[in-house]
Amino acid sequence: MAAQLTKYFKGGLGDLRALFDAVKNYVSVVVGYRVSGDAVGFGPVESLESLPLGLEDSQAPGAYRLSRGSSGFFRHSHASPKYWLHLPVQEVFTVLEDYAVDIARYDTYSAALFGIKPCDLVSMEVLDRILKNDDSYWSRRSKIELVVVEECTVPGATCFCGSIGTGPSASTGFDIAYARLSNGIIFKYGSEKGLRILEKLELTEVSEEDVAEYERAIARAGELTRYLPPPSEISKSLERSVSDTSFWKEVSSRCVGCTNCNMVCPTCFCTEFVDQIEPSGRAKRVRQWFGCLSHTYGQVAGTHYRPELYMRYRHFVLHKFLFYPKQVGLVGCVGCGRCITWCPVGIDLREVVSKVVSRYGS
Amino acid sequence: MGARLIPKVGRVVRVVEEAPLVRTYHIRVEDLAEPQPGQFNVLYVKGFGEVVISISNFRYEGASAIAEHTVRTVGAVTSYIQTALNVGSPIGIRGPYGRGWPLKEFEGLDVLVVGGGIGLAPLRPILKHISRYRDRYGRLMLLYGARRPVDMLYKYEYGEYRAIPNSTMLFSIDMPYIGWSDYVGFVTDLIDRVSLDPEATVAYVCGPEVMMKVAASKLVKRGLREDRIFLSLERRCRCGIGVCGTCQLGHLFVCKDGPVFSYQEVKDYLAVGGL
Repeated sequence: MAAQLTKYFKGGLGDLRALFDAVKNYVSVVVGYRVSGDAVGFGPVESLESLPLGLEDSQAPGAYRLSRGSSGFFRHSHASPKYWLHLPVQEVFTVLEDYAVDIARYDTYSAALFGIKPCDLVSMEVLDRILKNDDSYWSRRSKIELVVVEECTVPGATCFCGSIGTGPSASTGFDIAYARLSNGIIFKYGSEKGLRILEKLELTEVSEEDVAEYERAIARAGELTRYLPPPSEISKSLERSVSDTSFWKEVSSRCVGCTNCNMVCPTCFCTEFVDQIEPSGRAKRVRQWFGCLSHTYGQVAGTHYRPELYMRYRHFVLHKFLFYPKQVGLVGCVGCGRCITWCPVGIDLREVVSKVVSRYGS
Repeated sequence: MGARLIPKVGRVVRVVEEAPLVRTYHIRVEDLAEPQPGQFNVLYVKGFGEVVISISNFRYEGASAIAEHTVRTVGAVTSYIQTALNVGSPIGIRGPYGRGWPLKEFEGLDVLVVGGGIGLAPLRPILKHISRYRDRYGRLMLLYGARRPVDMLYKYEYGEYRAIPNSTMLFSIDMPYIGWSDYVGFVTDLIDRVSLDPEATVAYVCGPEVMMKVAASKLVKRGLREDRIFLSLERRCRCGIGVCGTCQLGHLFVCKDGPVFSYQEVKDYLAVGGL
């Protein structure tokens, strides 16, 4: 027990501010969930006030609301670290009038992620592996010098990280994590670098009761987000369901093919390339997000390899639980629940997966 | 930075009329790595975009590479190439990409090449390879079908293919045509008309997907091993390096895991529509 106690520190909101300032001194830009007008996006955060600490989100299938209140707990919005690391729209090159190719330059400033959730932390590991040959992604990813995670003690109604094992606490891949409890904030470190930063703050030692309360809160949040059978069972069931056309038509019958799920998914990485022609005769080659629910996903000149919507919806689900593990050794779904919340008709991935397992499980 | 997605600018140095709406473009470009048979390049035309085209032949002239790409007018980019590109026109090119035909691994075996229509383009480097290294392979059998005689590619090279020792060439067209004395029907029917040693044959197949599936299942029935039947697949390929995600077939990326796959690797996926 004594060894474990050294892992944790305790503090308050003032210490979180001190941590933010320490992190800010460490890098050129701090990035995180950012309050912007009446919404929360993902981008550079100037001060602690720009973080959604005083906001409460309420999420349900097809519904998202934000409200203000000092006791609020923010989970996440539509925006994940993908918005920073894998830009929604990025220039690749411009072809000039004389056909010379002008290569787009990437920004290269060091950055820290502050306050990201455990599910989003895991999504970065998934993206790291699937985009290992993507120079643009790595130009930004390699500049992330510090990661501070906010653990989730009060999960949202569409969250299911406990089912996947991606939350509610962070286990690897971070420098510092903190959890907001009723009587203070528990800090822990995930790297030597994180420990050095925490040691410079004026944090207090934790008591055994503090640790017990923290562990209870995390365990409770884990229970609340445990809806599904283990991912390996989901994969096996999905593999057996692949050719059941009527099943996939049924579960996708309400889908409108809007690609909202793809855009908000922190591990959806597909992109499309387009040429933007300028009046001067230059052409700018632009790469932008593209989702498998789009009606052109799988279309080529002359034919379409996924002509029906159920095929594209099936790919979305299969890719997360069956294909991603084969491609990168990790489940592609991190249980954030964004695809459920931001689906305009409220299709619940948890229900679909449960149906697959109840029909095709062992 | 980002060099993987940046095209080199080459020039069209020769255009060969192959068939209605099909031409072969010889593109001269500096610093292009030598491709393996079955690999592809990504061609780019300003303002229209990129298109993935197999490399149908390749040679060096001094320091310059000459890549041959057989292009059929199907979509916007290929239409633009056909209507606007002539000898001297600039064109963007990057590659080579993908996994080509495994040839070295099957030295000593008989080689069966089955092509349908434009599908002969990625198979052509196999014929050139076997012609060059004739003693390394057993019998060569080429089965090639097209809709009409006029649609057949590389007609000017058939004499060269026929001259390859210990080889058989069978041709088919889909419908009867005046003056045509070879087979009329599907190219896959020709599989029934060649003698095969199933223990010692490797098959390389390219054409419309339905034709490849029929060919593969016929060859399996003839006793060929599923891991010795290779297909070159098409999907929506954009980046060529496995980062854009749009060419996925199940968990496979057609651009980097393929485009050439053994039948064993893809048969379950191909059996399900729209995977």
